[in-house]
Amino acid sequence: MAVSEFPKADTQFPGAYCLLCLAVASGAHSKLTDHVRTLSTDDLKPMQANLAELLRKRGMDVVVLDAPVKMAELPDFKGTGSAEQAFSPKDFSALKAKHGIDRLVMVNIGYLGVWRSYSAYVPTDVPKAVVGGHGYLIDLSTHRLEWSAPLSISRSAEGAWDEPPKFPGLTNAYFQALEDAIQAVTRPFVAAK
Amino acid sequence: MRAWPQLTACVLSLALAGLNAPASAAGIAPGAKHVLWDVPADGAVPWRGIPGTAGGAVGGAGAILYPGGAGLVGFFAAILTHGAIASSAQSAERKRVQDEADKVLLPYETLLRDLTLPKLWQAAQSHLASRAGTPAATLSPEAAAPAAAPTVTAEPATTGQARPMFALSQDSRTMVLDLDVVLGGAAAPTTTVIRVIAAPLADSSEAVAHWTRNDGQALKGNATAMLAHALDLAQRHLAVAPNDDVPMRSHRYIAAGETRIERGQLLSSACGRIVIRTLRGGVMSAIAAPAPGTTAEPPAPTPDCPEQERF
Repeated sequence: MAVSEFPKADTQFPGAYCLLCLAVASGAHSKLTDHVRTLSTDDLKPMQANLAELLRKRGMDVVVLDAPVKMAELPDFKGTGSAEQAFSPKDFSALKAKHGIDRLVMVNIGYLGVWRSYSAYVPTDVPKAVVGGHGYLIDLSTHRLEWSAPLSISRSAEGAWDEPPKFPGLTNAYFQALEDAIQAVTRPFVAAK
Repeated sequence: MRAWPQLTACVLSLALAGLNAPASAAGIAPGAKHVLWDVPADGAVPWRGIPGTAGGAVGGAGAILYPGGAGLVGFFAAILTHGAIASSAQSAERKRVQDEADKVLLPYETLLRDLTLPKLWQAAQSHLASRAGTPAATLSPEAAAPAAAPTVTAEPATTGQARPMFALSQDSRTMVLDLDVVLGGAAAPTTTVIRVIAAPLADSSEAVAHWTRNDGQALKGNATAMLAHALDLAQRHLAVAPNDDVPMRSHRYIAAGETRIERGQLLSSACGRIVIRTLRGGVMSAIAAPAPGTTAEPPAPTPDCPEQERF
């Protein structure tokens, strides 16, 4: 099993699509952005070990790939999917050959940080801590997805959010979101009692 | 500074447990050995229902399309109007959600009306005084008299005001106390919130019967123990400056029957309960949640963790 290299925490302002809109949104949240970029992703590290432990409890022989996978450096998989059969977006053949594995559980964290939705120049919601990505179980002989689930976690600050310079409410929400992400990724693999 | 109109009549004096520490917190008089708590003379204890979506701010007023062709002035007017509408909509939504949440208190209306602030303070004082190892709490003899003068002690003291706000979860299983604490004089007060989250009842279907049985003995007993615990925490942890050497960590705890996360510094851990200093500088006490995939039974009563401290 493997996880992707975690992105650095950052802010985004979806909905502020024009250049001037984005400049206005970024300028209005410069202190928040400076703070969010200091936040660690270390709390996500137990995810891989937790997941491996759950797979072992299911009787699987698990190889944990210590080095995070750099998804952007992997070639795209050329196969085409269908409604009945989906394929991995990336070609993991190199990992199969290197580690002698036949299936890969891959957790790809695509983004994390704080997002605030906009309608052009105007915020339409409070900022929220977010973690997003995808989990896959891939048959490496065919690259067919045996399991796939999107990961989309969103957490608001309890009470006020605009508390510069350390934004304690949103910072707390960010770490809650990281924990939520670990739970969401591992939950499908918890054996029924 | 907040106004405390009804908090004038009597004084509860409690020794500061943490004052051997080298640094006192802001707002604490140097060398102070006691907190002289202003105790409310009358009034009901405030309660609220905890909304089902607690933990997330209300938002999402929806996207609004902006009119074109009105020029720059019209454009900015539209933005300002949108801001006002969104703010108003969010405020109205918060009130609606809170009003709905408060309905959980209806079965307890009579009990809560009877549980006044002075009664609760008196009970909390007795509770603290009965605890082994806790500095004895003394209520001044003048306490019963309206507008009595504060007790003057031989030792230096700092003044404190505390206002409790209790909350009940929607399944009636969990009580939460937020104690707003102001320490120090008017010149340099420090304001902190101490949150105490009680252990959830095992069965929500029995919750109303549990809390209301014997004239609300369990409800009043829990509220008393929680206030006493919060006052104890105020004295132990607000009297000393935060220790930056203690690392910030994510702590797992139980609230309303769910596992939640709070980032902060661990201050203490005992009786299955953790006390942490939150990122906002407040103090939170809650039942520690077991690690994922494990279960933990509540600790058995011991001299250090007596039954009356199990809330």
